[in-house]
Amino acid sequence: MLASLFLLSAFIAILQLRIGMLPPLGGFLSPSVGVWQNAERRQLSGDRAMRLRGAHADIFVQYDSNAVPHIFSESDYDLFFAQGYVTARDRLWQMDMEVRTAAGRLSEVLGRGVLGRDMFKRRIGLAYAAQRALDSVMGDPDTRTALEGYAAGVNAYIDGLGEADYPVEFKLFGYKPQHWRPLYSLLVLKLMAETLTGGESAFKMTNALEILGQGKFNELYSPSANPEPVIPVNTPWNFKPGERTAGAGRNVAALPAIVSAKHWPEGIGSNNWAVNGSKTASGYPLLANDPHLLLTLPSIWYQVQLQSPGENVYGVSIPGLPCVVIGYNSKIAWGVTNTSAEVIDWYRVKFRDATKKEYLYDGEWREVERRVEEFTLRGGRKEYDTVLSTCHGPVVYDGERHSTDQLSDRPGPLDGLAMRWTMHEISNELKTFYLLNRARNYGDYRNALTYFCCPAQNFVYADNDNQIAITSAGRFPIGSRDRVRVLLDGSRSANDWKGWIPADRTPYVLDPPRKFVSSANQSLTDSSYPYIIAGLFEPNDRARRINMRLSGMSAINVDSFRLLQADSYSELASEVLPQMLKELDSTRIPGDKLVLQELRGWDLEYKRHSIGATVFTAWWDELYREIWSDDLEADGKIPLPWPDNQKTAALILRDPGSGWIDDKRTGRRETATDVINRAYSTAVAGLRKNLGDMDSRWEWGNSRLCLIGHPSGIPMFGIGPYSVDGAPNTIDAVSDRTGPSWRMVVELGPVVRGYGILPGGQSGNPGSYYYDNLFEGWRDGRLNELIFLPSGKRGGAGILSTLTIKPK
Amino acid sequence: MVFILVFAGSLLANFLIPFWWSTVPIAMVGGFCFGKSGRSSFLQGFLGNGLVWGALIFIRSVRNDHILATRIARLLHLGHWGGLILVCMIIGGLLAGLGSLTGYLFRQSLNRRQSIINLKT
Repeated sequence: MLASLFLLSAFIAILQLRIGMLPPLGGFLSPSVGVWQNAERRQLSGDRAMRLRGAHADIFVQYDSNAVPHIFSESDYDLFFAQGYVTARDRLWQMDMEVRTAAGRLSEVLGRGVLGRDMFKRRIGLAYAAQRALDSVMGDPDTRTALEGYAAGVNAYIDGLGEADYPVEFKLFGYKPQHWRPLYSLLVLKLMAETLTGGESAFKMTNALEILGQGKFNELYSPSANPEPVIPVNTPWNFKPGERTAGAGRNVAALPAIVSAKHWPEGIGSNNWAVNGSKTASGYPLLANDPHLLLTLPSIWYQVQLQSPGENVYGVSIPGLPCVVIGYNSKIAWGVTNTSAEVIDWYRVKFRDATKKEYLYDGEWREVERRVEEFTLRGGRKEYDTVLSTCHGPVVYDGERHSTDQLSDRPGPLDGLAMRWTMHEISNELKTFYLLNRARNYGDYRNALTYFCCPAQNFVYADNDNQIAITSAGRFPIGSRDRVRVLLDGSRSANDWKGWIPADRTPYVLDPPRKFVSSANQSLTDSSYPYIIAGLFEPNDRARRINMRLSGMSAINVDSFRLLQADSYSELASEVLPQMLKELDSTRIPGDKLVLQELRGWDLEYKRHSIGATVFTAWWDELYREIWSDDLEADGKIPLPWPDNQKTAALILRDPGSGWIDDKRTGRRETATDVINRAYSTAVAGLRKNLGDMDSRWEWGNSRLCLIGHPSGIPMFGIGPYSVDGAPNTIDAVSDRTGPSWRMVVELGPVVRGYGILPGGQSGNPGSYYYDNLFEGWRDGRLNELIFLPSGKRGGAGILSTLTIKPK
Repeated sequence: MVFILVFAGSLLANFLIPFWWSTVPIAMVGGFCFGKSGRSSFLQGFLGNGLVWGALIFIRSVRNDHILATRIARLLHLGHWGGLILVCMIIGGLLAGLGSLTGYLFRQSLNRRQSIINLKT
């Protein structure tokens, strides 16, 4: 008997254990509380009604065949209450994860392994900035209603959950959802601001300036002239810069070369454009937007239609944030791309002594502010980090172990690196979205944008009055005159920011003569713009292609835009490949000529079955590496930035004898011809080695590993590897991890029609059909017609079920 | 008899008691009251709850097109969703089987003690 009892107890105990990444299997696999509870029905369930504490009147939520909720409410509060409720119902774990990531609280649930990430997040101060902005956002009655309603809705959902109902990730990692607070929505906003504007390129640039000197530095990194800025050249400006525009001269602080940390996300871009009705089949404007981000499952965006007496809007929202971020209503449509403007400056701060209590500023010692951040690790142990702060913002790197473990060469013992960032400013970006959601005309749109601060975005606009516009909105600091940011001396007030470009003077254009507007992360204006906006703008490949195609189009319809979004033509290849092929000595090529034939016959499009695309990319990458590695990887320790493709292409085409092309490690002097030939042989040999003989494995879609990952890293919760068209510098900007996170085309008119698709689905539950049901359509470049229900009209084609929420 | 009790009891408990081991006390009672031999107690308990878990899980998974079961099966290196359901059935079965065996053996030991006492008197 005792043996049997012992065996039983041991069995139960083992099933209660968390072994490595595995959850306690007993609970996890049981039918009553385990993962099976998350096995949603394939079909959306029928109509339901429920009473919820917090709702003020009856709210109707109708789900369409793609599980998009359409919310009908009688007040703003109820609208956001329902938005919070339905978003939590589909995306609770994702929301919780975003908040923990932004707030530096991941280690509470994932343990010590992510403590370094948490400390970095606290140092750059996302949570600090969100907390600072909270009062002002809550001080505005509109955004207060949005945040409070949303939080109440999320909490109404959480309170109705038993352990068995938790999203599967909570069961896997063994923790519980936390109650939502208005602050959390701001954290989600700040996280997006970090994704789009965070970075420390100034460190590598400073290294380059020190090592190469100003002349060579300018050759490699100063922005190339851009004939296709966001605001068309020769757009007149009806203002002159105020007296405060002239920033101080730069004063680089000599500093040991820095190896920058790798905490920041990769650069990511987006496209948007709109055309005037004179170019469309319907006579009304059309607008398109596809924001490129790190692709994840659950999808980054959540589609929703919001109706209350004051508004009726459709679009995508960010889980955790009330309102629609990109979308349309019955009068206007709008979309965003990142401006890529530099809204961070890094300052070298000089401390008085090792206590780091004072720092030098204009010849005086000023007091350093200190903030102690507490971290509660999973299991309850505490860790602390002291964050120092100066008039330039938080000192992110101060030589202390935690923050600088990624830095091989630290700042000197009495130095710190502080960051000034528009993200830290007190602002209310939510108000912009709130106002855009109910905007009726151009004036409303412009007014809404005055609230926007960070991340500065290009807001494209089109309306039923046949007006189109684009505005680079957000705060652009008036600071250094340099267009490339380097580390600044923080001991002189002359280097401080001198305010912002006023909101009505940031780059914008309304109804340009060319009848279209567009943006693709390229530089914002020509040199006639009275202010300086620095940035790491992307080469204008995508912009050039978009503008060229839009110029040539007429009688545009939705399908024209769908095809343009799926355009994978390479401007880079069209520019350099003819020259590369001309220089290639085909008599010296080892092996068969089939590869060369593929390349010669390539239509310059990154289609998934194209072999030419694979060969060109390998050849170009090798050529790029050959040209720059000897110059910029000289001692292999100090990291220097590498010039962009545009600079590299210009060298090959117009300066083939340049010293940059010569390989300094060889005794002879190479020209473009030499490196082009050498790169070809190396690249093709590399392809043979990695992919075998040329066959379907060489196709573009098969030669790279495209993945859409789940934040946990569990491969079964993601998608891929999958084969898809597109490349990072084509309009259809799919890389192995990033890509169009939402594609939308809107046709304005008496009846506004929207089309869109997500690389995933509405649900955040890996056990749901709606988790990834849209993926295949997205991969193949299709768009779904979106169901935009007219004001007050519930039901209709495509609506599958209704959830009625009644007050309790 | 053990089988019927474990089957019906566990089925009910799955909806009423939110503990994954809710079958254990039921199986213990079953084995204690109705167990005929160790082997039969174990087997009847095993089958009783194994079937409950299997059936409940299978019904849920079918309605889900086995989307989740397929992902979790791959996560746990079980390959096919069927493998995952089988593992679940075995876990559920062992819980109840060991429970009813323990219940039966407990009665046996009480009986033995009783008969020893009887002998002494």
